[in-house]
Amino acid sequence: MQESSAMANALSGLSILSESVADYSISPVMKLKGLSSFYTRPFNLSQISIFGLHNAVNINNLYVGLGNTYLYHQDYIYHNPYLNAHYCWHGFALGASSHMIYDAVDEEDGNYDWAYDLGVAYNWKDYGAELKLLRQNLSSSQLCLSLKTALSSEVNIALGYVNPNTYEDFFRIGMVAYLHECISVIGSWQNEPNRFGTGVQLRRGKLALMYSIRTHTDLNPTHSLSLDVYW
Amino acid sequence: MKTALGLVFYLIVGLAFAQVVDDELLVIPELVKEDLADINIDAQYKEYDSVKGAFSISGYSSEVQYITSYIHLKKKDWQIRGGMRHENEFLANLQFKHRQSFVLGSFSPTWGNGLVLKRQSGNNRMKNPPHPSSFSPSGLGIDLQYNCWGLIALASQVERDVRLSEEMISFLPKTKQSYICTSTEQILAAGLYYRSDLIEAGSLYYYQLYDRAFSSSRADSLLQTVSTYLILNSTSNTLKAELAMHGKTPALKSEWCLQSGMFRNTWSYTRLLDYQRPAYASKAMLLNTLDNREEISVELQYKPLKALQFNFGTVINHRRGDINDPQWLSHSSFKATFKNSNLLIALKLKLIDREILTSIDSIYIHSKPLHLRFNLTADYNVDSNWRIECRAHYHQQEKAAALSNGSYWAQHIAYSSSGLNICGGFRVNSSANYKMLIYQNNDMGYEVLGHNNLQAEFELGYKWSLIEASMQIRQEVLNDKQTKLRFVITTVL
Repeated sequence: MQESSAMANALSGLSILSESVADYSISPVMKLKGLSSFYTRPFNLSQISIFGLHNAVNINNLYVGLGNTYLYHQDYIYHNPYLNAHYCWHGFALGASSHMIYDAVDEEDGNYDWAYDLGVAYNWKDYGAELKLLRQNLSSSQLCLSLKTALSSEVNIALGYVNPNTYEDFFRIGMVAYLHECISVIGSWQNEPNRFGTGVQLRRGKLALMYSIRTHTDLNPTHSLSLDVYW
Repeated sequence: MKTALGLVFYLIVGLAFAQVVDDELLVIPELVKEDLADINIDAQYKEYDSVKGAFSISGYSSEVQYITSYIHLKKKDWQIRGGMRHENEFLANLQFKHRQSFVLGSFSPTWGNGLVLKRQSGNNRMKNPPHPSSFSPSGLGIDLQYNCWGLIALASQVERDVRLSEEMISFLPKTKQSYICTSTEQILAAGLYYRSDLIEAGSLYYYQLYDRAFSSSRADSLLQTVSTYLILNSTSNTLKAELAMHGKTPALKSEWCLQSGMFRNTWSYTRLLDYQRPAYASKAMLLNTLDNREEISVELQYKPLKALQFNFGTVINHRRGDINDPQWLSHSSFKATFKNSNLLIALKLKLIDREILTSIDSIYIHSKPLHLRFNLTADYNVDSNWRIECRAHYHQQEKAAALSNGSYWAQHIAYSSSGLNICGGFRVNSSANYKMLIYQNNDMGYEVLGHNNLQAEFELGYKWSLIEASMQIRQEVLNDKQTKLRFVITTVL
């Protein structure tokens, strides 16, 4: 549920390669500003819809992001608004996010949880590294380490290691290929469980439209559509 | 000039609603719920001060349907202001004013710190008529000023809706409601005051009579009060105090304000021992309306940078009388605001602390549940046309058996260009077991949220020449899937 934006869906959550403001929900050190909205249908279940609207702005070296992801099912509601702040200085970025996670079964059983993300990132020329601790103090917390490099001026790749609190560790790799100034293709793979993600982004000026799909070993693939605005 | 004024007016009216009270550090909507509609309308009238005429009409359609309209006309020394609301019945408040001296119709008289009439601010003591659904003094008001001296007088008679119990008034609503019974309220007041740059002082006699008795022993149908106030001004200090005497012990409300460079503080002390709140007095204490209590509040403001401001405030209300009343109540707030030409971010944290006394098996049980509230306001001007807004509230209320929490999250994207305004967004409220009150830009100034809900919202506005029209649609995605529609047409001359 955390990786619900179109970009995160295509990248299997490798936020180090992401160019979507919506992924502030999975990384406190995105160093992006703009607006992102998305619609996701998890596992192609027509009864469940996930919507997101996320914004980020900067004040000199300080970036502030906030947004909300809302999941709706007839009998279940989940939403996760958050506030992020991170500071960038000479390639370093240090940030934290606070999430308020609400879920309710029908109207009777609403429950609030507060969770925190911490992250640090460093970028130098074509290389980058990101270490993040997500949803600290929840059972779904995870520690993620990601490294990235540029294979060429058109292709960036990344490798990630994820240590979830309650599941087995897994690896993931991702790639972004800039085929044309207007078209990018994104792909990723992870083990445990074995999943592929891919997407295509059409970009024109400050606008970017993206569609992505991500497979699952037992369930139908997840589809996602997003519209991003950069400023 | 007219166009510029009109533009400023439209901008401010749109923003001023719901922000007037929201900016006050220690206030929460539950404490001022009944006053919000009046405060909002007063803010709207203030925007009319600089124009010759204005007229607005707005309609609302949802589970209830109503229409409200406001008018302002000014020619030389005369001014007409008023509003009307039609829901199930027609309600109106209208005021004729000659200069600032004579007022006929509905008005809001002010005096001192608000122990007898509304709290005084500025030179004009006979303020605007309140919201059409609110009761107000109706009759004649006079405020004559000659050099440093002034004379204030008012005579009012109002037929007020009341709820009766054994032929006595058990409830006197502030707003016009359809109760079967009414009671005649008569008010007479006269006062003299002196005003200079350094000192201001005055004394007022106030008489209030209802033609029925009150069922509560704390209220009397005949109330006679003498109020005296004093205001001392220096370059950086202001001291205000008012004494109101109608029982054995005078009621006192005092305030000291210091402004020094980037620092500002306000201390206030209120002591009400034998006090009956007059019909149109301000709420003397923030946290309680009962007598036999005292309240101390402190507000500190520090602005270390041009764009950065910190506010801290606390208020404690303590029992001085009946053991059945709460022994003490306390609110504390902290607010950090960053504001430059493009960005506004305000974070507010409020702790609501109180001791609850419950009688169980003839034993009093004390409990101190934790209530806290968190508010976030964020606005960003992307460029001269685009703007994004976010509002978030989280309320945590600890009860004896279970938590009672609620949250509200709203995000909007707005575009404006050449008189066209388009705004879209959504609101999520998650308060399955708790009714949240939040400030809203509507007729009443607030909204009560219960249940879980998701609302999509769209607003379209256009301004041409002196007329502006806007329409707002809110569609509930969950629950009843109700559609709320609101339109506003405003013209400024």
